Amino acid sequence: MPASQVLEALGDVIDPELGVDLVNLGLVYSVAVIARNIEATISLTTPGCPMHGTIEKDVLLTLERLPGVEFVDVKIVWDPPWSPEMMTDEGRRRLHWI
Amino acid sequence: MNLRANAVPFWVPARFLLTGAASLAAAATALALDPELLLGYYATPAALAVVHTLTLGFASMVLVGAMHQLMPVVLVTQLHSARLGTVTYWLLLAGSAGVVIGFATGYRVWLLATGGSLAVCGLLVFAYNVWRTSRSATSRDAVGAAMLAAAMYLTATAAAGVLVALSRRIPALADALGNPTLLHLGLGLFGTFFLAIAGAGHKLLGMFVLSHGVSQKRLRLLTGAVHVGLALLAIQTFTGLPLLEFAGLALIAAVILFLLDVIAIVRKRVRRKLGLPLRLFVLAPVLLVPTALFSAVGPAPAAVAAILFGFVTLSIVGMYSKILGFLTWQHRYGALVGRARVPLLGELALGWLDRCTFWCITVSVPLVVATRVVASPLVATIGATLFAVAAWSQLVQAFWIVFGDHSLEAPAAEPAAA
Repeated sequence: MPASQVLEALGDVIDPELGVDLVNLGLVYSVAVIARNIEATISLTTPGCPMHGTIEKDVLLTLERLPGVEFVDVKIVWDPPWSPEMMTDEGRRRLHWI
Repeated sequence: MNLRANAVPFWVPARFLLTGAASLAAAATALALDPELLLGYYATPAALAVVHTLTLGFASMVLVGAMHQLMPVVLVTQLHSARLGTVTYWLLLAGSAGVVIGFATGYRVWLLATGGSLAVCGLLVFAYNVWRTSRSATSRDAVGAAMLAAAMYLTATAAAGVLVALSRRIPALADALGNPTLLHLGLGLFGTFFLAIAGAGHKLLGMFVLSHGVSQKRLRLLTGAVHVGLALLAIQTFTGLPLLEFAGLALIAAVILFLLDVIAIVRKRVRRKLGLPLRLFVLAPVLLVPTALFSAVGPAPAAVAAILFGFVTLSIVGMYSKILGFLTWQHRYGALVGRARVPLLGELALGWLDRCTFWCITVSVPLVVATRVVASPLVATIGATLFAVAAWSQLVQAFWIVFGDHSLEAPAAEPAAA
């Protein structure tokens, strides 16, 4: 499975407060597909974000639904810390930043 | 670091928040039915009943409820005890009811002292719970320090209130204490509400508007200035030393630092378009300017109206839907995430009620403050009526957020920011 398919799936994971998906928010740091296993490394907009567990679960369940996937590992990291510059143009547009 | 562990049972903070909204509606209704309360002597039993419905029943309830949720988030830890949160709620509810009824029935000291003591007990339990929570903190910063201090000052405010009530009936106590009314006001308005709003606001506003890189230095300094101001006020109260001006200067310095902090957060925001509740929160600090002005040149009741009806109420109403919305979302939809379509947080609230609350309260607050200056019954009536409409709108919104049908079948909406 190509990583682009994983990223496309993560485009369905929406931050419920901001209403923008994780990919366009620049919160997906990396995805690795090894055989039938996926490792996704993501961050959140604020350390201590109360949506931590919910977003992590959303990512996990979304990726587990992909065909042929056997195991998903979601890592939430704070280094490097997320910054608004990591957002895509689409993400910035949806937050009226540009 | 497992932040899922900091989840607090829904009804622990939610019952405080719903009771708070109901109290705001009750206080506003009382004002609308008798707007002359805004014109007359501010310390009549009826006026004090309304003020304490607002301060104890609304502001303190919401603050205590929100802090049960926010302290674990800010300190990145677990709430020490949800059960103590429930104990706090019932003691604070009974105590607040006792105080309000004590005033409403004509200053019944035994009822005021009993109600006040129950409230103090509830707030002591709360302070202990928050303090124990802070002991297990994995993150210590200026936000946590400000909110922890606000929790302690809230207990001190209620204790000072009991002393005020008792000193009016026990001359020996009055001789020993002097007049603790100003200390009671200072502890409540600055130690509790101002500090809690500044602390929580720094964290929440930054989080909601995606403002990064704002230093906590100003928050740390303003917390220190509030401590100094209130310490001077306490020394003046108990010794009679003329320190009021110095206390006032320290508190004005804290206000200026807070205004600078809010401006810095708003200027650095990524989320350009703010929802109406957040606009209220950003608008609220503006009311600190007339507060300072009327404190300096009078009339003093206008200063109290500006900070209580203006700054405190606007700030709390502004953050209220956000906090209750988040709690409800986790409670009702958290388990569905990844399995079914869930609403965005902004979809839990009804837009027309947000608009109603926003416009009614932003128009009513200047009128309520102006009533004290122009002494016009017409201004008082219009201000109080609009304030009541805003309060009821907020109450209906609160119940809609918690119990309403949020129409999951509807297509995904634009971001809540819009």
